[in-house]
Formats: sequence, structure tokens, C-alpha cells
Amino acid sequence: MSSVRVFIPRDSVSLALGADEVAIALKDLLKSRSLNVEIIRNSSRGMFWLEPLIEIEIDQQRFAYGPVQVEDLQSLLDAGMLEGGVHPLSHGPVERIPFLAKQERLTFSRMGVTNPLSIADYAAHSGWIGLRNALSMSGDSIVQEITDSGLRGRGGAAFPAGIKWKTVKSTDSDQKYIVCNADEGDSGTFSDRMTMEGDPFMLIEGMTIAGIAVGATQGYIYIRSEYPHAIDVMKEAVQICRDNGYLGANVCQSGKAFHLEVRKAAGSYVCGEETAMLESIEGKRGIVRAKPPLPAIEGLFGKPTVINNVITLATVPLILAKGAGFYKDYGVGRSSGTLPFQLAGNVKHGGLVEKAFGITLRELIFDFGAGSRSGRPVKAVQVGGPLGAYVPESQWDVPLDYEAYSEIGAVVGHGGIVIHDDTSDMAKLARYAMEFCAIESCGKCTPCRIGSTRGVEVIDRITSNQNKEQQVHLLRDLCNTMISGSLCAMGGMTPYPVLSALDHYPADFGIKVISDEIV
Amino acid sequence: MMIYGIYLLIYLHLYLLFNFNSQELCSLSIFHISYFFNPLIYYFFILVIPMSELNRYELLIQEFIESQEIKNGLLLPLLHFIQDKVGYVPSESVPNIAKAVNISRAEVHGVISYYHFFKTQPGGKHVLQICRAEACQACGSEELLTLAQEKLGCMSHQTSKNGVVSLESVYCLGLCATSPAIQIDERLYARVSTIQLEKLLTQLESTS
Repeated sequence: MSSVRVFIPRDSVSLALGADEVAIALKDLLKSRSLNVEIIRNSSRGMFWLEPLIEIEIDQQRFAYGPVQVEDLQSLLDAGMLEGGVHPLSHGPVERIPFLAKQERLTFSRMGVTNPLSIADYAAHSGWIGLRNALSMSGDSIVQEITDSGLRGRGGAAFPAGIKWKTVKSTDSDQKYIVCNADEGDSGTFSDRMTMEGDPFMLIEGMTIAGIAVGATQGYIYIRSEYPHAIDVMKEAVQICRDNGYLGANVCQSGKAFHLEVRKAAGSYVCGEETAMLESIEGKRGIVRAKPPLPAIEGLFGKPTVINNVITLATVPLILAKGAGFYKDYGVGRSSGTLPFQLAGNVKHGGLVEKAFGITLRELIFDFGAGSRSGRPVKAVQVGGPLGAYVPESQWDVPLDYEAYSEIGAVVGHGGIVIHDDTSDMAKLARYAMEFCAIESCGKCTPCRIGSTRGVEVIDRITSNQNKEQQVHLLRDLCNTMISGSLCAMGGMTPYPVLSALDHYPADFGIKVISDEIV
Repeated sequence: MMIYGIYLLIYLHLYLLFNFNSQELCSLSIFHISYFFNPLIYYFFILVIPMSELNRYELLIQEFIESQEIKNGLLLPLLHFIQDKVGYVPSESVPNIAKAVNISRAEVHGVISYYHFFKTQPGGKHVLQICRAEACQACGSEELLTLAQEKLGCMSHQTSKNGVVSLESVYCLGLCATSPAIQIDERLYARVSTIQLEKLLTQLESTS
């Protein structure tokens, strides 16, 4: 019995579904039955419909039980859960659950496997190999490795990470910075949160490698205030790394310095835009800056700054550990590697699917997601967050890669996929996109600040049948102005969900379609 | 009488130093009604209480600035610190903040009013946040918001009349695969049904 270990997750989703209560109740039950079993708080594997998911490790193999509520524990123990016994909630060996078995987990390989805050666990699961390799390489060769891997920014813009790093590396300055954008405000995305809560050392390692590569000695992780658990875990992980010599004035006895600080955001969506985020870290209003100058040349406090998303930086250790070639072998075309897709919204099996680029939406929705949670037909799927287009069924077989999606006027973005069933009103969602832009616009440029409010009004007139034909024309014109005239993606991409809803679901706007011609 | 007054003076000084809650101070003074016969007591009400409120922010801010290694861009961390301690960012603290980070009061006000997270007034005893983003909308978050508004008798970003619950709409709590999501104070809830929300609200009202 002593070799049995019980894993109960402690990430936000599991906690929201009662994992703490389950852990406490199980501890009491085990005590009352005089069973001495170690309970470890891991993080979620990303199969959220099964949370809280209890895993029992017997002889190196883990058996899954979920979703477990406090009242199920008695019957689970009676059914011999600790010996891997059968119960209506059992799912057999966790790695063989099809949702997990079909994935290609590279960046997320440790997710749910390790104790997130055990540095020994991290080291035992291939942690720090990338950093050690990087410390024996020159800055230029690290940057070259990242360039060769084809890694592109995972925050949505998909800019090649290597080129960004090279610019910072080649700009002379007494101080350079690494900033990790963890302001994951997009609805339908949670891979950053999972990374920070479930494998924080991986992100720290990636940032340290970036610092060593470009010659930056200070890093910041800008985490949104809506993620208190992620903030706590990251802060604790940073402290553990300082205490163990992985951060500080002498990283791993190499003589190189890298300091890291966690900064808490304050509820502004637009601060996820890189220059607004820099302003916010500097202690100002999160107003978007005009580019140029590029942040890689004049960024934080006017110094050269690498700004990357959590997943981009978290992928770096793997590339340095296994080589650029290994990573580049995954994916299609110019979209190399894997993307952690996030299945969200009205989906039966919601969660995290890390797969190489090239998978289709249909596979994700039905093979992984098992269709809608409500059981009704899936109507529309928004890919890439609130600024991404709604993708209709006719396009669900387009391979998910940056270029293919851009051709159909959609974006892969951060890989967030929000599923809506046939009860969703697309005109309402289009209005909401404009309303959200009006609430969150930083106000610097007119198309975004004014256009979003006018957009709400125009959509209201369309849906209430006032001069419909004219107003549709006006809405398209307005969207065009916002796309071409906005300073950043907030105003520039809000028209994507609006226009895609209008194009693909005209009936929801009360527009009749007569033989392919919209009237 | 004089010696008694000095003892009281020392006692109140110490009390003010370690416990800044002026409301408690008042109840204490009323309880010891005889203190009012000592004219010295008025000195505290006139001078020490307002000073202590001011000093309170100054000391708080000083404590924070000294604890920080990096002195760059400290405004947001400082505002978070004050909000954590006080519950909101009082307008009386703005001059002290401005002085500490060496910017104008207008700039501090600009930052506080820009970010949704910072509050300038004390909220209700509990805060209910309902996510209104797309993934939650796809699973019925609008129904939750309507229910909360009806039950609390207030709109989003307002506090119920009895002061128990402040209602906030938020845009994404990161629980998009188990939507709709809400948060009550520090506790997150996922896959929330209207029945569950109703139960939670009743609990909040009855325990407050």
C-alpha cells in the first residue's frame, strides 16, 4: 500500500469544481480507515469535463477516476479505488484515455504529471536540460536554434520568435529586458493559465534562456489580475528558483545574471497588446504605443525588449533540449511545431489538445470535443479569441495553420476555440464584439474608440429593421475603416467576428438570402 | 485628574499607533463616558485622528516602497498593495502615492480610473463576479447575470441595497472549458447553473 500515491489537481478549474473539498474529505476518509496514502496536489491534465479527476498511481501506472465529488468518495474506496478497482467513474489508465492518447504533447508533456512546485520533480522530468545546453552555447547560436525551429509567437500574431530575439540581440544597450505576456484575456483561452499553474518552472527556464541569448538580465511576467492562482504559483516558483540558484546574479554557476519579477495586471484587456503592456509595467495607463519604434529596439523603459507570450517562452526549453529539427518536424508549411488548442464554450469534452498544426476544426470539435455539451447541433465556432472570426461548417475542414486560416479571412491566434450551438444568435454575438471593444478600447485611436460604439448602434438598427440595406452597407464600411485605420489589433480585428457573423449567418440579422445574393 | 489624563493620552496614542480603526475608537470613548470630562480627549479627536488617517497611507506606502528591490514602474504594484490592505484605493491616499512615485496627482488618478480592477470606493461585503465572455455566453452566462441582477436588485458594477453583495461583470476567468464561470470573493465556481447561483446567493445573504 505504501507505493500507492493519490493525485488530486489544484489548478483553477479543479478548485472551481470542488477539488479542495474532495482532497480534504478523502484525507479524512483515509484516516478513518487507517490507510496511509500520500496525497499529491498535481495540476490538471486538461481534460476538464472529468475534473476533479483523481489519479491513483500503482507501480508507476496511473488510473483515473472522475469527475469525483465528495459524496462519491465512499463508494470509490469501497470499489477498491486504491487498487485500481472498477467503478462507474473509473476511466482506466489515464494515459490511455483517447482524448489524451491522441495528442502530441510536447510543451504540455509534464502537465498534470508532476507536482507543479517541486523543483526535483521538474528536474526528474527533463527539466533544466534546455537551460544547461543554452549556457554552453553562444547567444547567437541560441537565437539561431530558435530561428531554425520555426517557432512563431503563440500569442496570436505568429511573428517568428527568432527574428524578434535577433533584433534585440543585435541592438546595443546597457540594459535589455525579457517580458512575458501572460495577460491572457481572450475568452476561450486558458493554455497560459495552465502553464503557469501546472508547469511554472518551464516558463521560468524559457525566459532565462531568452535572457541569456539576447543579453537581458531582467525579466517580467505580466499576469492578469483575474488569475490569482497563477500569480501565487508563479511567485512561489520564482522564489524557489532564486533559492536554488536558477535565477539571480549567477544562474547555475555560469556567472550570468537573470532576475525575474511577477507583475500583476489590473483588469484591462488591451494590456494584452504588447506596447500597452509595456506602458502598464512602467506604471502608466495601458495606452497602445505607435510603432515604430519596435519594442525590440525601444521597449520597456525605452530599452530593447523581447516580448513573447507564455506558450512561446515555455516552448523554448524543449527546443534547446531536443534541437530545432525535432520541433520543426511537427506541423505543416510555415506553421512549425505544435499548438495547444483550447476547446471551450458549448463543448462536451472541453479541455486542452496539443496537436501539430494541420489538424482540422472538425477533428477537434468532434473527435476530441465530442460535439456540443447541450447535445444540439454545433452552429458556429470562434477561433482565436474574441477578435477571431466565426468559422461556419463549410470551413471546418480547412487545416489549422496560420497561412491557410489567413486565406479564409480567419485567424488561428492563440488556438482558443469557442463552440456555439444552434441556439446562439450571431447578430447578438456580433453586437457583443463591438460592445466589448467599446468597453475595452484604450481610446488612443478614433476608429476603435468611436467606431466600436457606432458599430453597436448600427447593428441595433439592422436587427430592429431600420433602413436595413443601408445599415448593412454602413456596417461594412465602418468595419473597413476599423481594420485599416486602427492602431492595434483591438480595433483592427474586432470587425473579424462581426463581418464573419454577417457573411456566414445573414439570417440572424434578418437578412434574406436569395440564390447566393444577399438582399 | 491630570495624571489620569496623561495615562489616557499615552493609552490613546498607543491605541492609535497600533489600531487605526477610528470607528472602534469612538465606541471605546463612548463606553468610557467619563473620559469626556477630560478636555484633553478633544485634542485627539481634533488632531490625532485625522493625522493618523493620513499617516496611515504614508506609512503604508513607505513600507511598500522600502520592501521593493526594483524602484522602476512601481505604481501598479503600489496600487495593488493599497487595495489589498484597505479594500479600495481611497482618494485621500492619492497625494501620498503621487509623492512616493514622483508623478502628479492627476497622473495617479488617470491610472486608477483607467484600470477596471482598482476601486475608489469600498464595495459590498462580498463581490460576485460573473463572466460574460463568449465561452460563458455559449453556456448561459447571460441568464446568470439576469438572475443575479434580479435577486440583488442592482445592476452590474453596483452593490445590493443591503450592502452585502457587489455585482461585477468580468470578461474571462480562464475557465472557458467548464463555462459558465463565476467568482465569489476568492472562490471560483465552474459549470454554474441558475439553481446553484440562487443557492449561493441565498447563502451569502443568510451568513452576512
